[in-house]
Amino acid sequence: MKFTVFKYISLYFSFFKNCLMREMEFRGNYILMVVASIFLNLYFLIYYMILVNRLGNNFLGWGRYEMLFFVATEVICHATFMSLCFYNVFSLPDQVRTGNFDFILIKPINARFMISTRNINFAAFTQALLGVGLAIYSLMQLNVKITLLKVTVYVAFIINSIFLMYLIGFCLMVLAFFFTKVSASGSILPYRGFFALYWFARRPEEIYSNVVVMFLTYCIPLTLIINLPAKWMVKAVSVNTLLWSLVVTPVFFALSHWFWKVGLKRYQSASS
Amino acid sequence: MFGRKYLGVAKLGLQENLEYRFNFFTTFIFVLAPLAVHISLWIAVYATGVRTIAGYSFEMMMTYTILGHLLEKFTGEVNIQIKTSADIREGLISRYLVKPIDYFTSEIAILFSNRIIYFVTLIIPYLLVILATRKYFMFNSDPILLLLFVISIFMAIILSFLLNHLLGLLTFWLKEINSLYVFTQSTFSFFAGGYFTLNFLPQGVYDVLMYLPLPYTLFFPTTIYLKKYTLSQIGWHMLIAAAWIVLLFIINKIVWRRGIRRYTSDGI
Repeated sequence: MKFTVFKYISLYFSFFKNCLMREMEFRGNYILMVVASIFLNLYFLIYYMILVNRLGNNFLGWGRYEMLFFVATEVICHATFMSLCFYNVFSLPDQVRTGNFDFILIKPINARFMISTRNINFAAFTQALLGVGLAIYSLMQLNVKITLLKVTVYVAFIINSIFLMYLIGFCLMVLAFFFTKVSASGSILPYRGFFALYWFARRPEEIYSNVVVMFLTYCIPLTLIINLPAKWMVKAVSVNTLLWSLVVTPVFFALSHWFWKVGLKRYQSASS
Repeated sequence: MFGRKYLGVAKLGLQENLEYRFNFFTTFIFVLAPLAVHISLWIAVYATGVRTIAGYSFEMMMTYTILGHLLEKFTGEVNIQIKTSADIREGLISRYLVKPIDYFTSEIAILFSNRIIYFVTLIIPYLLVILATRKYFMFNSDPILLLLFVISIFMAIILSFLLNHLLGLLTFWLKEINSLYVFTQSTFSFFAGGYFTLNFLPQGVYDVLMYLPLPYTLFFPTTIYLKKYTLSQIGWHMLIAAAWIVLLFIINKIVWRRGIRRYTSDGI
């Protein structure tokens, strides 16, 4: 058992090294991607800053620097997700459609591990650093009392968020086993579905009515992704939400695994 | 004779799209999710007791949000950028070079046949949204303004096409342009007024922007509908938009001519 864990860790390091080498071969493209995605975050940031300004430094209870911290948290989560998960899980529909998924199944390792970790994108990760910079800057402006415990829990929440995003993305991808035959362009549907859901996650939860917030916390855990870590640092978090966040990820993981097994059974390969 | 040829192209485009009906159906669910978030944001903000923000009452903001969102989907043609780019990279434009058919004109024909599809798929979900928010949605019944609104939408479609087509043509020089796609998409949306109304921006920035083409792809038609301008102001802005259309048309033609000299027809 111990040996297996080590095997997978060392495997992950090999993936990491391999992806870094691949990315460094196309340095021009890498730099272009970094610049392009910085602009993307910049618009999002300007959007909120102008909004907060227009509302007299009070956007539904969020001040300028609190909002900046919210955006920073969003950038960190989003970028880490894009870097570690996006290019993995979102390749599944195409692999299922083309039958390339066979090559993953025949490898002597866990297929889910392989499909979830094979690709790492470093261009996206650079943005996470930008997010960390923004977060530190806004915390300095806010005069929040920072303790080691607070930061540790914040980091734990972020890791939890990445897992949640991965699980939502993964479950949508598993739909590929059921729907790939419907249409060839069906492979972009789960991808679009994910970002449609993520739209709800990347806004302060104050914009929704109470019922919607309950739904987005307990049915689809979207408010746990960005609202929870951001509020933990600069505002307050209810005990219920804290406890729920401890439960939801393992439960979700178990459910997703069951779903994956059901989906795998339907896989028939293609053109072979 | 000339017209019939491109009408055929338009018909083909129409058929191609109808094959993916399933995609269209799901598209509108995904399209409405961001709109729902926008609408809840403004409901929550105005519920705090704010009367107007940057001159926008609640009704105006709701109308701007819904109509702007619809127009962004209807006039925006970011796909053209990807398509043009792929056609060049994969050597597909070769078949236009050997046949007596012009690539640019057939793209325009496809553009308008796509508009029919978009109209049919988008009108139902957005009518439902408008129906649900009818208490806050402003209905404009001024025939002259409505006519100008339609003309401005027409100009928006052309402008959006010319800009995206031009970016696609850059593939002649830069092989991997797709990484730019995310960047151009968000830049277009931001400066066209897709994030929020451009009236939120500082006056100086706003004044400069109105001399650039992007606001005319979304912000301008929407604000005509909202009765934000006098007729002479509309005339002046339409003149700017028309000038951009002519200018971008010429640039497109020049870039195409230059690019085609570099074209090596890969993959043939």
